[in-house]
Amino acid sequence: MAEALSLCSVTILAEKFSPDTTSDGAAGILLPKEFPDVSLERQRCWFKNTFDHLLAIAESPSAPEAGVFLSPGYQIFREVPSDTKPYWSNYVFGFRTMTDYEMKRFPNHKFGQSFTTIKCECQRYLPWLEKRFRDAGGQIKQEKVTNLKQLTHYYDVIVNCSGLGSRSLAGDQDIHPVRGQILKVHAPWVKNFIRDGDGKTYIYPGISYTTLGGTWQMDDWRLEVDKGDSESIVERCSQLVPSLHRAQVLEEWVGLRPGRRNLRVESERLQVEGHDVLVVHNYGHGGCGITLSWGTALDALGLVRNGLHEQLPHARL
Amino acid sequence: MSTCWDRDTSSHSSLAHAALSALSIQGGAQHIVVLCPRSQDYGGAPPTLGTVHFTQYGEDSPSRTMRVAVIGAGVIGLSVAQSIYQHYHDKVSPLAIEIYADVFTPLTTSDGAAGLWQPYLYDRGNIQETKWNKETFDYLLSFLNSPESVNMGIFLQSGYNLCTEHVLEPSFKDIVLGFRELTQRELDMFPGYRFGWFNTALMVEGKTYLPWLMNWLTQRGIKFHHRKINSFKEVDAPWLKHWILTHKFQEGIYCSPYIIPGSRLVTVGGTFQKGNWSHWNNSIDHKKIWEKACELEPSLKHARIVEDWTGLRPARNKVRLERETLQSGAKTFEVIHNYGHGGYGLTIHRGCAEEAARLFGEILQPKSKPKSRL
Repeated sequence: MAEALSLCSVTILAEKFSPDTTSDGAAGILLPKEFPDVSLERQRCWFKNTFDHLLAIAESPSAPEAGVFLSPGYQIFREVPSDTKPYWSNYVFGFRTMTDYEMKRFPNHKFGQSFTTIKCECQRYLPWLEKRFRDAGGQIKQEKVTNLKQLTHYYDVIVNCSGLGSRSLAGDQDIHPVRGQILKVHAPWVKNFIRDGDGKTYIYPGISYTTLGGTWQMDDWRLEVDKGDSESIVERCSQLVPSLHRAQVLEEWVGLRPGRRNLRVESERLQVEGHDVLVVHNYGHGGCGITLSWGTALDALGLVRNGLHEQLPHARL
Repeated sequence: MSTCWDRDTSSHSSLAHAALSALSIQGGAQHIVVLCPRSQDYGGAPPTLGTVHFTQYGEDSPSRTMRVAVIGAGVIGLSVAQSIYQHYHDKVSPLAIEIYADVFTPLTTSDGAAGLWQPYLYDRGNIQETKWNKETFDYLLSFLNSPESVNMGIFLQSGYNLCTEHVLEPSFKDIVLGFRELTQRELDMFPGYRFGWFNTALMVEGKTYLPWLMNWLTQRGIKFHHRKINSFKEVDAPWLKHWILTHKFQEGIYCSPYIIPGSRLVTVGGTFQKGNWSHWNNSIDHKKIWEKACELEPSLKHARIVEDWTGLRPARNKVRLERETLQSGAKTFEVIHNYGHGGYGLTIHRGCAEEAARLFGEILQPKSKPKSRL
């Protein structure tokens, strides 16, 4: 918004910033899940726009600073999935089914897909984006917002990207925490990512460490590390890549994914004391936050533009 | 009695003398010499190396001490020692294997190699070499699921082979994993390249594998005797997770830039000058490699350069792996040659080591007498 809407002043308000957000702990591998009630065309746009935006960064000298790079690897399934060619297979690189010879490495799995996607590490990407935001005139305020209506005194448009916070901020009972625990380990000899199609076991090689995961615990609000989960993660990942047995564990981390049946990107109007404020929601990305970040941002930007046009039809935005 | 025969104008005979004097102490013992030096057989008159060492050939009897001298402690020398030990230490007793070299890890050419398993794109009709390459791949792959793989420097890595024109499929297409042509979208990432392949291959890092081999050999009583170009940079770029090799056929093998991430650092290279015996880092070479590599992978611009290195690949039109019986007066000497592995020593080492061990077995049979086919 700061870059596209030069006549607007944009302020980010948040309680937490990088490196303390949920995004910071996420491995950041671009791999979407399908939402049941959103049109496939719209989901395609979300993913493609994010992929293209990050690819341009990966191919530039800014790549290491932004923490964005190509990541080759495999997704393997214990049983052949119903959808062997998901919508995003066209956008990642070199998507193909794994050969029997390649599957020999994984005796407990029957089917696999090989492709190269992008990894976007938020511990680097968020500060890099923040800098870009400030360069475009954006302001940043550290503040915990508890009530959207309070903001209406100061802002004409509110974009709600509060994830789980929308339970209270937007009164949305459909958003739930999905607890995820990961281990950050030292294993620089592992170059390919491997992900079990069930989404619960994965190995994602990163710049400074390799992420081993994970868990998918619905309605679990615990932010403390669970030792049982750690052991289970090491066990499951070492089964796929035995050399991980001797990988040194650097850190254990827990994050709560903002889970929702469908991602919510839509606008509404808030009436406060005769005052009309546009609110655009952009939350509920679950485990696909980074994967759909730029695409949903563009979608939200579109909604902001449309909303403002309605309010101020003659404004040059 | 012992003699030293210098094949080339050599200033390196001190190594030869050391090897010979050590071996000649044991009168009446059988001596077999396995040659794995950095000899240069064509392309100019080099100042060093290429010496053939041999000594007395005693009676052929399994109960006598069998002394084997291996010359060269790169991946070829160490793996030959390993194969001979594995196949014969319980058949020939006592079996004394000794390794002579002017440099040991981490100073050998093998240590500098990035360690990507990949033969040359054209096998030049050398079907034997293709077989040895495959044997090596299968051998290394068998260690992948063991925890030992990390200590050996073995891991999988995928990557790109980029060509400026359409070429025939290489011999290794059925050996590596998931070999396929690059899609147009992928080629769009590398301007200037019109064709290429993607596959997953094995890495075997020289600087990890060689110490592992040395340790393996030391534990089994093998003794080491220390008697004395391709340039590249090692950089810190841990976000790179795949290798990229480019091929410009007019410029010759490995003259085109390549980027190969290792387990800790990334090797960025690209010169291969036949006949160039200069060990000194050529700063013009380095600047050119660097610029070309950054064109290929812009993110390298901000990578920290850790080390500059130059090594001499032992180039030959094909590997020389055969027996030779040499004469000195009334004595005969058995030599097994195993040299000339160019830029694919790590790729082919195990296959050659096993073949050398097989030739060693032939020597143990008194009837066989090979002809030298040079």
